[in-house]
Amino acid sequence: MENYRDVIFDSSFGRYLVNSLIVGIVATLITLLLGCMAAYGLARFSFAGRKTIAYTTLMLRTVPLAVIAVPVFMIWSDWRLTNSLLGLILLYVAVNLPFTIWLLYGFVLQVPVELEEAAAIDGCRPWKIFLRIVLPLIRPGLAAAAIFTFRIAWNEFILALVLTDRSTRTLPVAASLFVTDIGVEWGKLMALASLIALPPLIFTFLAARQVISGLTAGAVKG
Amino acid sequence: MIAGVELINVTKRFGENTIVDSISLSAAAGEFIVLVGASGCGKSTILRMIAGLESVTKGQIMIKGRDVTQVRPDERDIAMVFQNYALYPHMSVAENMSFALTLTRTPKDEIKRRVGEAARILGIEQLLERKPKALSGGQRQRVAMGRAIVREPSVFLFDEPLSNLDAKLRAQMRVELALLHKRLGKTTVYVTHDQVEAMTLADRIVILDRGAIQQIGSPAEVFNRPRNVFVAGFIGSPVMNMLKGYIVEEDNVELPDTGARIKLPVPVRGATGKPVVLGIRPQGLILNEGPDAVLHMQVKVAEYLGTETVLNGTLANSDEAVTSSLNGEHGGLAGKQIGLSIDPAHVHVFDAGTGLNLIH
Repeated sequence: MENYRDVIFDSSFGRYLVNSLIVGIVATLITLLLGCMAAYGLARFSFAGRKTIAYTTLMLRTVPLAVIAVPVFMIWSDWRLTNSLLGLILLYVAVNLPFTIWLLYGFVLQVPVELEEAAAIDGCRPWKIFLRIVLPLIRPGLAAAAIFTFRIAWNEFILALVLTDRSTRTLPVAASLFVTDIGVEWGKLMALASLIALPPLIFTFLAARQVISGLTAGAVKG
Repeated sequence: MIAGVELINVTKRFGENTIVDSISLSAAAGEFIVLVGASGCGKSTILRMIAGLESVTKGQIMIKGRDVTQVRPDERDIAMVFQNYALYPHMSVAENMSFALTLTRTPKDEIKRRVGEAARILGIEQLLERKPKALSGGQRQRVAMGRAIVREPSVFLFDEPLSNLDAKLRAQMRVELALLHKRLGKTTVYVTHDQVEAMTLADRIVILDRGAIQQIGSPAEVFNRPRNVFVAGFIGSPVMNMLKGYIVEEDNVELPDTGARIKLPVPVRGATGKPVVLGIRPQGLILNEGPDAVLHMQVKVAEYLGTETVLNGTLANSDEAVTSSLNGEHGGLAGKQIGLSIDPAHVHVFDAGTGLNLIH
């Protein structure tokens, strides 16, 4: 317990927690916002290269993060994005977007086109169809994508280590500081690691309640 | 009088494929028009063009005298019932029905009145708070119709609305649809592949094949005076017998395989020697065991249907398939050779080349 107290009342714990929350939540929101629109576009509109884009987005996800750490550091330095939360957020959005698009693409495909046509006849413009019909029906997909994105953004270590400094570092990076030249402070390290695990757990429980299967049941013939 | 719906030379192409080829069609206000044809004949595409869900390649669509060819679906004064109902699964029945009205900011008490009224007509008042997934197929069908009624449109569009129901429910909903149309008196365009629905519901039937209109007429007209081979084969059950032959002495058709001569109800002037297709409805082939039988049939299968028996087989000494529909029970005829005479009222002659009916 002493270790927990030490960790929590450490002067910079609060700041790192806020950093982590900002990065995790903002990255998740931006990813979902862009992801659902891109997925809808891929699923519903035909344009040149649509299939290629739909199937290659996922391949980007197979690149190990450590591989992009160095080039990203160079570019971010040029753009003065290192040591800022924005730089980290942008990177997490980029890393998570392909998977989110791919996941939501499948959900959008399952929404019967007739529902959108019925809505068009009922008086919805395309934007309203998206907001009032499509979004509510892919809610389980949005929740699943949010869980994945938030957890990756929250737990990610290597890029966060490279791209942050004393004031912008996130909790996983902070935890690594307990590994010092003169030894590892196991107690504090474990205490912080346990604390880090809590928010994603809570978040996952909240989001998973949205993942109700069969949400489109009853739309079309059973 | 202004037509409820009018299509003027409407054409639809997808790339090189012409789906609908320059169709003109006019439904009077209050008329119930049924578009019927095999799948891929373009009937659904026509309906979707009227609804505004599909663009028109060429031509014009008028609703109540207004050119709506370029108008958005919601501003065409139409409502559509989809084959698979297309209910919004995340909304209750009441919300489904009032969705269009909420979008146009109709006052709340007006929405309530209209939804209540439609629910009463359709007998779904007790379902208003439920979600679509808690409804049976028939109930969903009613809600879909309710959603259309609530909008009080000038034109109702139905896209095979009954094809997902079981046979018994379908017959029941068919009657309800007919009553509903009588009550509301709105112009209706109804698409189906089911000729029974077409015959029972329509004021006029439009028979389509390969994107072109084959015939427009009342149910009695298309049954008794089919304009061509396609219409004759499509309307009527069992399907009309089609036998190859040629005209002799202007008022007889000789069948080359059997040598039989069939007298026509009216002569075809100047057509002697012309190759034709002789069409005889199965109901027009009557059992005749006497020596004056015109055709002989080898019965293979006898289907007893209660009030009638359908005999399937071939002409004797030929492999041309024939079907006869006899009143009453004749299951014992299976496997036998029988004699048939012909009721001239059920005889049609079609030009073997153009397919056009030569006598009606």
